[in-house]
Amino acid sequence: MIEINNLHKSYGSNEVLKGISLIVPTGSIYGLAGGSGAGKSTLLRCVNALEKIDSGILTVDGVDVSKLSEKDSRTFRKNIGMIFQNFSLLSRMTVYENVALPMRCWGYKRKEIDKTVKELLELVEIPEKIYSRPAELSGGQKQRVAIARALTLNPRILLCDEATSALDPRVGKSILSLLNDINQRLGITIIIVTHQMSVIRKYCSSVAIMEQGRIADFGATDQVFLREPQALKNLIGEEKYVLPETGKNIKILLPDTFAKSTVITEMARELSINFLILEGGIEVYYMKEAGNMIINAKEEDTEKIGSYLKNRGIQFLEL
Amino acid sequence: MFEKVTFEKWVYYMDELIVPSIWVTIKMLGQVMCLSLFLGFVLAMILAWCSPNGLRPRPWLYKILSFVVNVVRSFPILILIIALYPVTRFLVGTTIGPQAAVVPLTVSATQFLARLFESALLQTDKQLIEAARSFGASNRQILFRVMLKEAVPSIVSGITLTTISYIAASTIAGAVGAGGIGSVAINYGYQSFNDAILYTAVVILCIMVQITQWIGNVIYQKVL
Repeated sequence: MIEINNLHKSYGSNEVLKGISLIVPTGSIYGLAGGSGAGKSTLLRCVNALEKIDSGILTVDGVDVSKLSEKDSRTFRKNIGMIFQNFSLLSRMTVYENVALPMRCWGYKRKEIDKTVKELLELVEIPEKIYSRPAELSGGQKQRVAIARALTLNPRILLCDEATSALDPRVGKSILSLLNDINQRLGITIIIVTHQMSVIRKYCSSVAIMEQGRIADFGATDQVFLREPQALKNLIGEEKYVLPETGKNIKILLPDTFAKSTVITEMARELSINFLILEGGIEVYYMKEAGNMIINAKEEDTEKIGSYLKNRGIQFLEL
Repeated sequence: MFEKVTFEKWVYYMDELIVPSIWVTIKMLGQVMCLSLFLGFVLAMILAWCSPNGLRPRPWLYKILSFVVNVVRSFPILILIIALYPVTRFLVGTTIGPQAAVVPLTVSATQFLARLFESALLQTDKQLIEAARSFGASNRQILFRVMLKEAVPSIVSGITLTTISYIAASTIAGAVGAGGIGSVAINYGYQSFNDAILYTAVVILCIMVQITQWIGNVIYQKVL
């Protein structure tokens, strides 16, 4: 578990992180979203002590990161793998040597290195590229090599800094399902920093949205997307609906269990009222589906609708 | 004064003057390159280590070293050879001959190589260094296993460039008594009005440069 409490970090007079508090549960896939300059990459680098924090508390599995000496923080980083937007492979080394590098730095035995490298290349599904140079690989394959390298020291946490931003959507998706697979199979906590909301929605169990060095909103991914807080709207940057000015516009949030039910038509029939359906849809989130629907009802029906939804335990917002 | 040069005479010059002087030049250059490669490397490592954007910035040490390197750089090679006479005499015991020329040429080549190697090392992708840090590599491991490894092609072309530059520099040293192909060209060619010797020396220098460049290219392709 990663616990962050009131973390501050400045570069000179420029305060990049202004009091971040966050808990990342073990085994989760946690999304850190935000525009450029929001401080998400800096926050990520604080987690593995690549950046020193100015004040606040940051503990990883009980270890206070800010109190580590230089030597201890090197050992500490063995527990935390990291992958990057530009893959960061050594161009003059083969795939094998690239993946073996962390273990070589830590003085593992040749045999052990050999075994681990081959196993990991199987895991990332490119065993045939073992003696290729990075220049001979596609972007997706390079990221797979980087993932294998990040896993060599058997980390408990994997940090992904815009890992799919340089890849086309299809390849990005395959990398993300690989990460998901790794999370499921090895139980590694994964933190994904990205500005691509589609990545967060589909692959992260929880999300924190950062704005100008602060956490603007956070929660379970489907909840945040259904609520559509201002921070999320700012990030997506579009006005989604044009709403009628008469009557009441009500947004009905249909979580997992209701997403595919007939609750809307049931409501219409049971209350014998009519309303306009303005927009609706089901979206796929991390391991579940959720829907939302916006209806326009007459003023006098609003109360009835409200109590009906409340009774059935469905969230709604009056817009 | 202008004697007619026959083929026999030319062969005689070759045997007695030019071929031995080629060996003197090669030997001198070999010594200069070996010494300056070693010293330049060490200096470059220190520079890359404590540079403001290096592994562990030490601004003051960097400023001092950088200043010294720049001072040596600002000397034209001929002036440097003369200016270093006291040092040369202290180290070698004389200021004349190829052995003496090795001292100033090494000093000059060292700063040249150090700057080239330093920039080659610091050209390493910042994120690559960050990646190495992220799996717990020490600064020393990053320097040797990442930066140096990635810099090899630039280092090879730097060495080629330096070798060629110091073939030229060794002939300038020849003007002030260093021996070698340069002094043959000046003393026996130019100052004795012997065009045969002068232009033979020029052609030989051309060939030496071409061969160096060719070897450099081959190695560069190999290590790329």
